[in-house]
Amino acid sequence: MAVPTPGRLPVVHQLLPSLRLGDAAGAHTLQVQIALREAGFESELFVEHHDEVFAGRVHHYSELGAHCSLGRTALLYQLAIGSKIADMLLDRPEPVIVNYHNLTPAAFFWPWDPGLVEGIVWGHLQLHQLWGRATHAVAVSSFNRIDLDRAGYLSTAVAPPLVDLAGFEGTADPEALARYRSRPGAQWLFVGRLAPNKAAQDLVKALAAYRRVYDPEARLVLVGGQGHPVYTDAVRNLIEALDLVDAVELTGGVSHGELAAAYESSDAFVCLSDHEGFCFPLLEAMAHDLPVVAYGSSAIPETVGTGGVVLAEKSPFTVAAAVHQVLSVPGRREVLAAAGRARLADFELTRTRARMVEEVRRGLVNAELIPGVPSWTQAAREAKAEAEAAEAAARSARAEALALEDR
Amino acid sequence: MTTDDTAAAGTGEADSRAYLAQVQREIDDEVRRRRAAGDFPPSFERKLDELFARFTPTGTSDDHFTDALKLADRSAYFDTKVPIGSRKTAKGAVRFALWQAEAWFMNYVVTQLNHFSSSTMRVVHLLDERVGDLERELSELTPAPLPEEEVLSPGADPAPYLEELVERLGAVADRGRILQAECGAGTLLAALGGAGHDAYGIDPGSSAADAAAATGLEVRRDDVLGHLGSVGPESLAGLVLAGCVDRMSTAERRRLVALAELTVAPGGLVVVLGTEPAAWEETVGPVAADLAPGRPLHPDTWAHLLTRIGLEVVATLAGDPASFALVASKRAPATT
Repeated sequence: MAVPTPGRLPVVHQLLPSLRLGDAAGAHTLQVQIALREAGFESELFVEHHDEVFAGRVHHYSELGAHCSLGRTALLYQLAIGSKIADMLLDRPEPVIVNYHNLTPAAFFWPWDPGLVEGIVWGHLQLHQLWGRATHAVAVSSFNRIDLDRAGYLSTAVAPPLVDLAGFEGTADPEALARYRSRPGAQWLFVGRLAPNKAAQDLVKALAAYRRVYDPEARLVLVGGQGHPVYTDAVRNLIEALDLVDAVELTGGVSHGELAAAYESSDAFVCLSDHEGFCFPLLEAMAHDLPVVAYGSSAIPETVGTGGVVLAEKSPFTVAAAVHQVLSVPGRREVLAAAGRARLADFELTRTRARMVEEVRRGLVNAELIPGVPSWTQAAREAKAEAEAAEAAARSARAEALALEDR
Repeated sequence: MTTDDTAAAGTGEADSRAYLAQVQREIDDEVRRRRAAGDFPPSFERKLDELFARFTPTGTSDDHFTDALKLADRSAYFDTKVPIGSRKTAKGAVRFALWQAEAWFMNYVVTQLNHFSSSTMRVVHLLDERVGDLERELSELTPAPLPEEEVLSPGADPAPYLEELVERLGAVADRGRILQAECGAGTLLAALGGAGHDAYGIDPGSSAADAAAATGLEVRRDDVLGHLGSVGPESLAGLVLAGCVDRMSTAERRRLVALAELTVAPGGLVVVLGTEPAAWEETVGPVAADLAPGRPLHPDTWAHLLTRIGLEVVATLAGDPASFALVASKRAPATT
């Protein structure tokens, strides 16, 4: 390991499989870049795919080698799905810090979208392979940290994702706003891809229960891409069978203005997901002063904190009763909106940027790129050395086998 | 907090937590009240679940193979007649021209695809027939049970143990919800609810359980092993096992105790409300007792099974010679 040069900060480049507009992991990565640069680190972003709008701000990951110098560069990898980038990292010499955003378990998808399972399994495999290469791993929630610990990472921490809260407060599209507001009845909102783990069918069932008992004109707006056709069809069929075609709107992907209109015109944000690694829309709802009612699965209780109502179960009538209790008691919406705003303070950018930089520094100390006491224990060092020796032996055996083949 | 919440809520995190706990209690009260009034019929929730199950692919629902096959049949045909209509005449004409120009190529490819998909579907149908034949042959090999084999225990009556169980379960109720599986007529649930404890029951579908649900008790129609498999780890303060414990097979009982250990919070209780084997045998007679596939176990056997998975048996209540209530505790982690 190189001896750190006093006074000179290492370079920390970030790698992300795909940088898309509106994608939470992508927005986080851009914010991390700002935080690192503000802290004095040189930092570039390397991706496999990106939207055109980011051209000029990112490099293709194949160019990484030209930007690295051994003993001075560390790589921060944003892990959210299997990618060629992780495979490349396994063979690169620079120390790696993993920033883990969660991998949805494949079980949610195999009946609905078997084609996706391969990518998820690939991601899980890479999560397990990278432990021996990572000097530190940072999860965006304690729920996600469990995956890191189970995968054997020796040094792990939790740092909340970097969210530009000001970016949530966009101008609502007036046409969409007028359309939503022209309809009677309470409007429920959920924002997120129409995916099996997000359980849109449970939202539809809960709305049916709510309309039956409390508000026959209530509506549900489901904002988000529809990338799983079989699942989307099943949800549509359920909506038709319950005669809710006029009450449930599946918007698909929307513009920033239309999203703001949906938030501004809704009465409650209802989330019944079975699996979320963090769930950014909960924060968006809080930023729009929308009361939150959520089922407490996976990382959701952690994200909501004291900013909304978290339910222990999500039978349709329980959810209906919860939304009714939130909307019908005078003053309650305002109190919950204030609670949401207070919760948002925990994600204030200056705070989260500092926290993230602190964790990157931890990774650099562990990599002995900056001075400090590494977090490795003696036992962990020995286990790591053992794994590295085994890996080296396997590589050398493979090289020998190839050499024999050549002869 | 019923008139206006704005004045009642504080500003600090502790205040927020207290306020949210109050909202949660009001939600629970609303659910209980509505269930008691019959506004939340369990049959409606069941209908919603069954409805969505109809639209799920094979693998997420239990037995919709025929529906899935029909769906696959419908999707297995590729059509070359693309929609070319348009409100604008020129656009429609362009689309028609493009389709005409490419039709020779598309038809060639699609004919092969249709041939492939219809051959594949034929193979699937042949497999379906073969599996159907196998199932029929298997059912012929498995004789129908004798009437004596179907004699099952009606489940122990919780009445003799009510007071003590409510007290013991109440003492740990701060750790989560209390679940009774199976709950039958809901006698214990009602007593727990009356003492202010958060309890619910599941039952695979007895008329007694439907009657209990109609009185406002939270009773869900569910299978015990299936339900416990979906309950979060260490989320229950107490788990009362009744009814099913008397008729399960050995493998099912092993799975049951493993799930009990998994779902009960540290410090929480597992209660087995069982029928005394001797009393049961006396009731059903020796022939039925010998032929029955599952039979009640002795309290000592339950104690052995629960102790093996790390629970500590804290009491065996004997208020009635025909039954017993065995109480086991899950050890809380040691504190320093």
